[in-house]
Amino acid sequence: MKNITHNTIQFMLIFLLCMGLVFAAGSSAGGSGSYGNTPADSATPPQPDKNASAAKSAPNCESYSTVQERVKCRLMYGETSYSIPEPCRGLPNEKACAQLYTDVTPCYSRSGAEKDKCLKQIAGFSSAALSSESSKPAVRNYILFLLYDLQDRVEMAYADNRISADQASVIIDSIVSAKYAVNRGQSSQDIKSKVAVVKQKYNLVIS
Amino acid sequence: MKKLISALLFLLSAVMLIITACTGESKSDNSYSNTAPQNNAQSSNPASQPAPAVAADTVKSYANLQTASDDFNNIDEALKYI
Repeated sequence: MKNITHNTIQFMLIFLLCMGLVFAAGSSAGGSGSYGNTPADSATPPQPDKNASAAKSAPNCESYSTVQERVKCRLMYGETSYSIPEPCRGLPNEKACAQLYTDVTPCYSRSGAEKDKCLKQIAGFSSAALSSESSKPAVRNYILFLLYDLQDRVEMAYADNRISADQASVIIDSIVSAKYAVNRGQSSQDIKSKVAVVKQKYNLVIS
Repeated sequence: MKKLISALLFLLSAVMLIITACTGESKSDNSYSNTAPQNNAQSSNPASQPAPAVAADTVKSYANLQTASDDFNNIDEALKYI
């Protein structure tokens, strides 16, 4: 009987050890898929709130009627509820558009040629050079991502106190407008004129 | 009788260990399914996906995105191809 009890205890110990290993492996394979910052025109704002006390009484940014007001609100207070990125709103493929934003976000932590390579990969390029890329949707995605990069620079300038929330939101509003044009399949000329507005606003404020 | 119970316990141990091993396998599969690769190149994660044709190109083919001017220049260039 003593032998049986000994065997039972041995079995229980081995079993518990195995179960422990299995659970440890499971939790290490999980984890969050967060990539960090996302822009002010999207669900989560890029910077932490500048004023913690203001964040406590943050308004619902979605309640504002214009893009510029919503962007300014997100810059100042942060986003309080989930929302679709501004340039994706109203599109038939809203969710796919939002997913593209999420997918490209890690690229912005890179710089120089590495950033370009990453943007082109996510855009769906099959080659490195623009001149040899045959997919027009991929090129459109790439333009979106470059506009997103500009937006990132504006948000950084705001975070560094180089520009005000008003100035930042005016530039981002024009960037969103250019993104709308890209997402809605507008002509190259239409997009070009909207990008010219972005450039003019950007260079006026950030040097 | 003692031998019979010992043998049964040994058999039970073996079965439990096999079940444990199987449970562990399916848990890992579930974990990985959360990050299953996407069909679309546009929604792939660069950190976890191998770069297909792009990786074969030389680095000098890529734009050096350092400043806002680089972004604007590349947008102008890209607009020629849509």
